[in-house]
Amino acid sequence: MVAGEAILDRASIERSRIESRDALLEALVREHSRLVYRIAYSVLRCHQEAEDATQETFMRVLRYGSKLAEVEDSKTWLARIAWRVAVDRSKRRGRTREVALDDPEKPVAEVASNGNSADDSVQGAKIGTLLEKLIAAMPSKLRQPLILSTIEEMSPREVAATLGINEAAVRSRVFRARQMLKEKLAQSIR
Amino acid sequence: MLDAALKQYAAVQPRAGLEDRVLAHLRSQGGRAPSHHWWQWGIAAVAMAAVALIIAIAWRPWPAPQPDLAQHPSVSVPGRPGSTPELHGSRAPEQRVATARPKHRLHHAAVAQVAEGAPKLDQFPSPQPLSQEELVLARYAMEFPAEATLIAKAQDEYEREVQREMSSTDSRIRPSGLDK
Repeated sequence: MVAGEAILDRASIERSRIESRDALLEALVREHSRLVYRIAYSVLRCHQEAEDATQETFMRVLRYGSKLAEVEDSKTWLARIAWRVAVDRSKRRGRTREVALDDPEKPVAEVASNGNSADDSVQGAKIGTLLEKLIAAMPSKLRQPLILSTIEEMSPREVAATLGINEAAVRSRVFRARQMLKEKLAQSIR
Repeated sequence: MLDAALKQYAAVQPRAGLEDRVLAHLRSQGGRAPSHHWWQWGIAAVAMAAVALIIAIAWRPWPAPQPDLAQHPSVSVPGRPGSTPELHGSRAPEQRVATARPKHRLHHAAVAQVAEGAPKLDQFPSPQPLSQEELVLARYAMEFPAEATLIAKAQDEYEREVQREMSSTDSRIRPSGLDK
């Protein structure tokens, strides 16, 4: 009798633990899946691969299981996992994807449909393509903090935590990367 | 211009319903997510089996080392027939087994074994058992010693006479042969 009750207690504890884990996981997905997607996209530059990387990131979170509640800064923690997943996928792919002018998978820019004239849109698309090529050609030490800092949800502190470097290094590398891009863009447009 | 371009670079939206797709995928995979407890129990079981196997091997009584008889095929040493029949007959079986050696040492080993294993005899050639004729003669000499003595003397005289004749014949033949 007592043993049966103990088994029932253990089962109910286990069930409530799973339910709380699922609830926590769902909250994480609802709150941070777009951030995870953007991080993945910033590395992979492909919608389908970014979505796969997002799924993989949350699968890793699911495997973390019962320790999920112990995570203090879930946003930074998720960002770090997403970054690692995306970089691993990028390495497996072998190269950083370069987007050609007529690439059908070219990301849809929100600013392209903001009511500007057709000339401005074409000019914006050209600059966007050029910028992608310039960023892809940058050394990874400068490229990584730059692409993470372009994601509006990421603060320099979170970028630093994601890359495992200090905040000052992030600021200095982003500054140098922007300087380099400015010069290259000016040369290309001239 | 750079700020606007970077904003455009980062302004990317996932397809609608990303959260739902992720959650649906997680739910479908959630049941299949490996439990850490089962994983740990599996490793523990494998480790215990390995320890039990090691102990069983360590405590297992090993078979006693086999003698040379079992490890090497027996090699028979060819002996000269009739020369040393007693040696072959009197040698113990284990001595014969011990002569089984690799081929390059076979001859020396066999000789050494005979020298070591055979008793040293007082008489050479070794005494032979009497033949049928000798046994009959011996029985006659025991039953009729006087006649046997006379026969022996007569035989002895006859032998001397034959020897004498042969020596005289040799002396007569030799000078004539030399002159020729």
